[in-house]
Amino acid sequence: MSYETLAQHPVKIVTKTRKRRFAVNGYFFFILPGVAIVLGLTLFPAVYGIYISLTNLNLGYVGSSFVGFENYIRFFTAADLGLITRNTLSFVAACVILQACLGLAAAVLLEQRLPGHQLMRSIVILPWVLPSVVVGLVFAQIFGGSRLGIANYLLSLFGIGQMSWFSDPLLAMIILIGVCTWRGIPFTVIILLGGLQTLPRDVYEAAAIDGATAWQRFRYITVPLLRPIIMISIIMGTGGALNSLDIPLALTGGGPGNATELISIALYKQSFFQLDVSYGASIGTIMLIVNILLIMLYLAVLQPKRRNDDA
Amino acid sequence: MLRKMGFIAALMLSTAGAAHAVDLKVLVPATYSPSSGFVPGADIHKQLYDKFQAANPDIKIDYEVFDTGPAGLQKLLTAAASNTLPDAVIVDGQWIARLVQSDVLQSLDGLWPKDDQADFHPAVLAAETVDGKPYAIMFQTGMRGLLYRPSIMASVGLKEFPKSFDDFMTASKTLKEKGITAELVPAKANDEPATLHMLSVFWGLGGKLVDDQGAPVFFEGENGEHLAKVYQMYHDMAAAGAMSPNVTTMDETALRPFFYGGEAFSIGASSSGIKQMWSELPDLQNDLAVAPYPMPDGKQPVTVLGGYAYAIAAKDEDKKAAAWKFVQFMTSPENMTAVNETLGQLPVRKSIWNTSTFFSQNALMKSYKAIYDGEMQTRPAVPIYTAISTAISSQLAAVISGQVTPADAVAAAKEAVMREYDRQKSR
Repeated sequence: MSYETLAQHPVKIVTKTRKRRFAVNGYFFFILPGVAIVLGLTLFPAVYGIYISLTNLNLGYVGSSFVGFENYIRFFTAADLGLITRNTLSFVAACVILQACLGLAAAVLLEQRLPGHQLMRSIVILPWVLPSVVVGLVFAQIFGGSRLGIANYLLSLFGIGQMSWFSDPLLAMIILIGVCTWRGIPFTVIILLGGLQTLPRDVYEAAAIDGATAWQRFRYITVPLLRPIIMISIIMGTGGALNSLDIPLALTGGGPGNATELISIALYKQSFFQLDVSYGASIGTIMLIVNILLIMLYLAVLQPKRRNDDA
Repeated sequence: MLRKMGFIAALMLSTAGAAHAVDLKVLVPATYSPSSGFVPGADIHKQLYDKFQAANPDIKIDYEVFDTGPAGLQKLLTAAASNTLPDAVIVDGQWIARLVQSDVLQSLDGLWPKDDQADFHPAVLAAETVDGKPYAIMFQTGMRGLLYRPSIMASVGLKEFPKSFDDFMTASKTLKEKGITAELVPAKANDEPATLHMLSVFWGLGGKLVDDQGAPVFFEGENGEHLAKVYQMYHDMAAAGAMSPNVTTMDETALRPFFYGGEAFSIGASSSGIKQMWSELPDLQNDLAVAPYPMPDGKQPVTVLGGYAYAIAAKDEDKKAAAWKFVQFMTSPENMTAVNETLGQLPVRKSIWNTSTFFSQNALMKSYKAIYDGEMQTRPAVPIYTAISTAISSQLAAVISGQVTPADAVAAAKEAVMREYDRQKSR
């Protein structure tokens, strides 16, 4: 449009600008409640939590003051830091690896469309729909040391004596990992099954014609093509295991002693048993940073896939 | 027409009355409310609330339930900070000093008549008094001891529950031969009842947790020796098969299946759970007894006194007066008897022990009365107590499994507590 033309139609242009401005303002007005809720319920608590972590707020005392990074120094020099870190790392690593391997195996099997696969899909998802606290309490009953415990009852049928399942630190950790893995597998299966269904069939057909075995098709086609999805499920599983509190708390409570204490349980105990809110907040902030790193990793993994998809 | 006018007048009067009614906000644990999961408990509180409303039409009870654990204290302190405190509240006796410190509770001085106070056990009055002023009225207490079934005791040829620790260990061998574990006491880390069971024995041996200034001394000199002795007792019981090592992951409730199934001869339990146990296994109504912890060296255990209490948080004069009416009503001998009998929780009024048929006639309650009349002690109302409790119970698993010696456990508990105490002192 030339300047002359613009000069001939000034009113029309102004009206269009106003309309556009109104439209932008209107959209902003409509998304404002959503933005306010998100900021109020996520950003504010996170920022406030960080602020609290820099104070010595303890509900056992009146008042609080700014102490800088004292709570963080305390955490990184705590005597039980080694134990908690070791427990958390082994728990997260075991859960994530087992969930990924077993979840992938289950997803590939379900994708084979064997007879009854629809029913099996529903059954596999069942652990995911159970409330996690209920899962923890039910397994606590199953592995109860009493002869009334289901596990001990089953052992007694084979003439095996009672086991003290939760009094041995290693056994308690194995049970905890097993239960959390059992609960987490359906999530991995759902993600991987969705990924498997998007893989191109013609590649498999070509490989079959070339004489590739089932294992070779899995190893050289399925796994490479599914790698971004596997990575996403691993990253999300890592976040889930790291933040997991309900099942560990209901199942072992960190016991025997502190043998299965995870960082999430430490946070809970400090904040709600010891009432040391500021120390709990500092542990929470550390977990927040780890979670942010995981999200960045997740986005990094997702980004090349998007670029590939766009291409 | 006249009837219509009368109806309208009555409606207007009731509306006017309602407009002037005091809206009394009451914060209570679910167990002590019409929302209790224990149906008889819910019923008795509903009846009492209705009775109070009928007698006080100018007061409208608006109750809300809250957690009894540390989260409950957190909720009260948060409510105080946000100026949303209730008018009347049921508090854990352990919280009273802390709540007074934060100006949450109002003094009952001048409200609570001295002659009524005289009906309470002196230790109870001491537990609810801060700087010479009463701040709450306890309405129940729970005592911990060893529950056992006399029928099982008779079946294994024991005439009475062993009184000394040596006799208990001897009896445990007989029980073990018959496939019965002699004792299960909760020993879960960070579990307050696990500490409470230990404290009875520790105090009975003469141990002290803190000094007069509130500084931790449980590891010093004789105190440290007494605590090591308690750890040693737990270890010896587990090593001899008198106690299952499973206890390191169990709270009081988790012990019950072992007791119900006859696997455990005795379990560490609170009197507050008796009615629940009777309802879960009705046979226990005529087959349940309580014994103090068997002690070494001819000592007697000291009962840990704890319980819930009604208190006033309202500062407004009208609300405070209404709250006092409610507290006075709920803690009157008649109503306290009804609640104590229904819930099976031990009374703290001397008169109830004497007048209530249940508490004065029931054999089990008579046993509790004997413990009640003995020596009682409250947990120290100092902020470091929670750290002490956690540190002490956290060592149990390692001691029981033999990974740590009792002396090392005391040292480890000291290190954990003193690090926290030094940090707290520097505030």
